[in-house]
Amino acid sequence: MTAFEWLIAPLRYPFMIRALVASALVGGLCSIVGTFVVLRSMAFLGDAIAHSVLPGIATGVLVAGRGDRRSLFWWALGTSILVALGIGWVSERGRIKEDTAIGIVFAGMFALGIALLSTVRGFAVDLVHVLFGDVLGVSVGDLALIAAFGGAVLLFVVLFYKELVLVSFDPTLGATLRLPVAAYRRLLLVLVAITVVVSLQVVGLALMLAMLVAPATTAFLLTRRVRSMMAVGALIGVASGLIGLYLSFYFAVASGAAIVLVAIAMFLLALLLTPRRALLRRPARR
Amino acid sequence: MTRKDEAPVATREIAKRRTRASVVHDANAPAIAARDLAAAYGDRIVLREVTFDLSAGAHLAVVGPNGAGKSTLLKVIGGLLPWVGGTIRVHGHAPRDHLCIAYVPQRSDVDWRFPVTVTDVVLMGLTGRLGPLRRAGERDRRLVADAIERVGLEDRAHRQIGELSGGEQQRMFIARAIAQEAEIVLMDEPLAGLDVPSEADVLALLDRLDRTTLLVALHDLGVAAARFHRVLLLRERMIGFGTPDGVFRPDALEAAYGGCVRMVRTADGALVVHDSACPREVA
Amino acid sequence: MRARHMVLLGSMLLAASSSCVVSQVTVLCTTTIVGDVVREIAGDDAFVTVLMPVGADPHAFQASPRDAIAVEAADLVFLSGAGLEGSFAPLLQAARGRIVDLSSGLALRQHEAGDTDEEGDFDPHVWFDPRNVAAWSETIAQVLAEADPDHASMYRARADAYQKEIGELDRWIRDRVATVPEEARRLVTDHEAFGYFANLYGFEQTGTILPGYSTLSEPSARELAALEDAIRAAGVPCIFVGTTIPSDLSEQVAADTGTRIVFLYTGSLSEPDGPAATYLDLMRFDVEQIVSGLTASP
Repeated sequence: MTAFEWLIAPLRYPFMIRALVASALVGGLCSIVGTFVVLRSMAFLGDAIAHSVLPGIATGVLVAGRGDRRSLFWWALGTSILVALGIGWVSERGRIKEDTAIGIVFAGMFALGIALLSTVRGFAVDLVHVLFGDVLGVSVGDLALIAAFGGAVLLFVVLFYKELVLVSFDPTLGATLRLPVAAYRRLLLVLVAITVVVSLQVVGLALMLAMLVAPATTAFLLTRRVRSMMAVGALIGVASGLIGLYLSFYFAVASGAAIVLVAIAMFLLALLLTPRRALLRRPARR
Repeated sequence: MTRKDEAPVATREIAKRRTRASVVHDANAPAIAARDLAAAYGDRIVLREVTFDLSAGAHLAVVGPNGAGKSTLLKVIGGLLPWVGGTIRVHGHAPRDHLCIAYVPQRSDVDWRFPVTVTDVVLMGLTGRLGPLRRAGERDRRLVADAIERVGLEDRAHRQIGELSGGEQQRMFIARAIAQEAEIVLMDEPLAGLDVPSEADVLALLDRLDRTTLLVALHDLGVAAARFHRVLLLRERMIGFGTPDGVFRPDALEAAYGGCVRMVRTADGALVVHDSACPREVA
Repeated sequence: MRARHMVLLGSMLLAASSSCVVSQVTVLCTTTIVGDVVREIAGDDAFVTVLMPVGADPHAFQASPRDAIAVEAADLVFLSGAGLEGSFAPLLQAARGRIVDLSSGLALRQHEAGDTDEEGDFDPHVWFDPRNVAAWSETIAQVLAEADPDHASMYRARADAYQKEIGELDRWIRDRVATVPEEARRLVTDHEAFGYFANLYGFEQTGTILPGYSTLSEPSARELAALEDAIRAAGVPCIFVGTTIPSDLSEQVAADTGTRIVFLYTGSLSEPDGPAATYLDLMRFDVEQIVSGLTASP
């Protein structure tokens, strides 16, 4: 097969075209929102929101039955937004250390989800799809939801870009300028929550964190400004989605995992090729 | 990459009342007027009995040992913390009514790896005026360039902030305050960790801000005495306010630092002497 | 639900009456299909319960603690066998009574060497060949007779009668299948459940949505692409999917290839008032669906 044929072969199948579009959209979206996740050290939060979606999905399965998958999207969306705002509220109170509070919510919600799902006899297949994605089953309707909500998230990022960057870098300046710093922080949490749900079908819960963090971190190594970090991150995310899916097609490996592995590979490449930027060493002084 | 010092809880309540335009300054009122001002963290009173008037354009050094409440005082004046007793008036109004106050954080509180350049940071000072949905225009960019030039950073304007030296980092924040068109600038330990030349640069820059009301938290009494016309000595309560000679008397210094510090006036400045054999600890 | 209540009742009776002699043999069956066949043989002479509820997918069944109680309380446990109960095999090992694998001794289908490995090597869907179910009834009658000699003659009589019915079923199926032209005898299903049926009645299993004998596997993109190619090349008019697993992927494939979805009962009976309440009904329903699906005009 020539290289061209190799590129074109998967495109003969409508399910592959849908999967490629979904992967590209999700890759780009995760990287853009992931820029803030990385810059604000929200990785743990992002992981927690992802895992906390499970009880919402489980409730949806119990209520609507396993046949109605579209409603699961709405259950997941509602749950993740509530959880995101809840985590924001808990950490604002400041009485418990933030990562402890998040960890408790995270583990508790996930366990609740497993418990609920286990009452559905034969839940193994559903759980596998939720954890690891189901990109080959993406329908046109699913694509529409991904595009619509992904687009809404991107719109908010564009509209409030400089405010979000400001409160991420210097919340005290935000307070000095009398900006609603807490509201922006909550907005960011909600955007992460929506991104997680939109990306579930492509990546799955278990690998969500990698998609949020890896392309953005790679871009961090390669750029010096937030704007370019976001743009480069988006490119890397889209590329990971597309390349990962092609690899999944030709090597018969799970697509979600393949996409994440490509993203990580790009990160490692960037790490090796860029001069030391002390990525992993934090400043010692308080 | 965390913000070490998240804006404290109270800020969120304060910032809820968003005012677009800064309130009109009362011409008859001093720039800053505090009467028995007190502040607390939780139930712990960390600042009290602060009483002083500062006129517009004056430069005040706020000094005292660690934990004396210097940062707290600055944040209260800046409208970043609520106060629990007494009054504080900035140009005749409550601090949070003003958009013309700039706060320069301690260098250790800043994430220097954040991917922003000097220009980006200075531009942030304009965000309050621009509002969301609006992008910086030509006039705004010129304002930023002017501010950067005034602090002498024009050839570093496009560097990522982590590449700057300590002195340059301070100058950048001053440029941001200029871009913000701040009339009051609050600086928290701007000289910490700077070598002597950088210190001199920053102090020279501060001297040139002669139309700006300046409050600078310092730990170096010598600098405070030599370069500032007004000082405020704190140790959780205000010990003295006034000229350096008036405030840095032996009894006041003993009250603040536990008796092991003396100030000596020399011909061209002041010398602050620490008696290292002194047995009493500065608690 | 009824099965669940019966299990609870049964174990309560057992627990409560340790000094009482339980007159009936307690029999636990894993799937509803096994349960139906065992009931045909046992009649009212044994106390028969079924582990899985109607509609459960045997490949993916998750046993609960209550199921463990039921297993422990039974005198006899009948498995469909050949790896079907793989997902809860450890539970069954803990049974106090005798465990009977109904498929042992049958000629089982296997994947050829070099194929992708699935959960267990054998095709467990033996009941789609009625002769296998006839063999089941033999085994069941023998085992029941050994456990309950008083009713041995009843069990024998019922087994003979049932085998006659199966003979009739087989003839009926051959008649119906004959109406499907040879080149149209292609089955595309959601998982490889119809191997024994295809072997016996001259069909070809052209492809499956989920690779292998179990519903727990995931197709790769390449496998899906190959399936769609096979569907188009063979010109099959419909895809047969079971009622026990969600059909989204099958619906996508059907939409992409312009084929219809036809529902069959594969691993479980229907509700008692449904079209496949017994094994014989299930076979008749499925064969009707297959025949009408393949012979209907597009």
